[in-house]
Amino acid sequence: MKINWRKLNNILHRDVGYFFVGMTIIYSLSGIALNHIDNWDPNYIIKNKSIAVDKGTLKAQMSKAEIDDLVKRLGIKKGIKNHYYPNPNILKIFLHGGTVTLDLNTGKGLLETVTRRRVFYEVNYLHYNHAKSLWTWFADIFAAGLILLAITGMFVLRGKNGLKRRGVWFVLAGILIPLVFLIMYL
Amino acid sequence: MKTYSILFLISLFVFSSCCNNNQKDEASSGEHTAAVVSPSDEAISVDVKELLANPGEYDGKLVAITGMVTHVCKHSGKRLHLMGKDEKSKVRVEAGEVGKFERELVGSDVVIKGVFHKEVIDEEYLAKWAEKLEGEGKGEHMSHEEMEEEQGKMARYREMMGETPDGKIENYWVDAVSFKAEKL
Repeated sequence: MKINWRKLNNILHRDVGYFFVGMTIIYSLSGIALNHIDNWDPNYIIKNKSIAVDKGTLKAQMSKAEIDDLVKRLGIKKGIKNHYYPNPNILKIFLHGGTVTLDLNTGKGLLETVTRRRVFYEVNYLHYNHAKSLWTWFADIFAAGLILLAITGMFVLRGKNGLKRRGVWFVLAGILIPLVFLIMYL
Repeated sequence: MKTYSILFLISLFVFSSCCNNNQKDEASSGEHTAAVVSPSDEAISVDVKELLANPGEYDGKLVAITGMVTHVCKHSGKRLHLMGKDEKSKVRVEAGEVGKFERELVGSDVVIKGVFHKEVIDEEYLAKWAEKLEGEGKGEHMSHEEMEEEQGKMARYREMMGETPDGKIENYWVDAVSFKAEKL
């Protein structure tokens, strides 16, 4: 049986392309987020706010009720998880979604709130392969699919827009750019 | 048409060669690591304070430790610090098979199951480390910055060793196998 390679190529490119639309968007979004990891936290929105209380209300060994009261006086609505003293002069209160750190000597401190970045947290979770097990296999299949898309993509068109004429220049440019960066920086 | 068929076949061949080579490398390097312990194995329940007071007794053993998470590594989530009931004893926990610790664990009470390790750092340890670094440097397996970082670590350990009566320091950590966050 004679195989129509061009037809097979185009079918593969079309169907694999459809199948991996979601994964391509997931990995691309996450790729942009992680690419700028030096400039921002890709997973969390972190806010810091200076706070102050009357130092007379602070002491070593505060009870849970006293901590509850302190957090209310600070106007914080987040629930309390735990608290402890990293050293005799510092009180640390762990909240659901943040931390309060207070200096017992001055009454001054910091409220840090931590919130997940919606969408980015989820796509990063998948891209970093934190799900492990079967996800690892699916991600590998996706990677193989991308290679297949790249190769089959070169042969979809014929004529003036095909690989032999217009296409070859784009392919070469796309290979040269990363090569230049490798030569310059590696 | 013939040209495209040949090019397509060549591309497929290159792709399959890549995959086969990767499989060969994995097999020959023997890097596939099976879990030494599993979460269902029986662990010794122990408090952080007891663990650090008698590290030799628990070295290499599967332990289950309850404590409060005081810190999770912000960048990778691969490490956390677990504090015992006395609020003074703390042990480092590496994510290991768990993969990653979520930042939301900070401040939570958790039960961590993992293998406890004790490492003695003395002159012999530093000498072996220096020898290994020299090898890495000559083989150019390490960048200049990485070499400096390692040498900086060695210098800090040496300083810490100088402050101990026997010139040795001990490093403890737990390689986590599983964990469970308890609700307050």
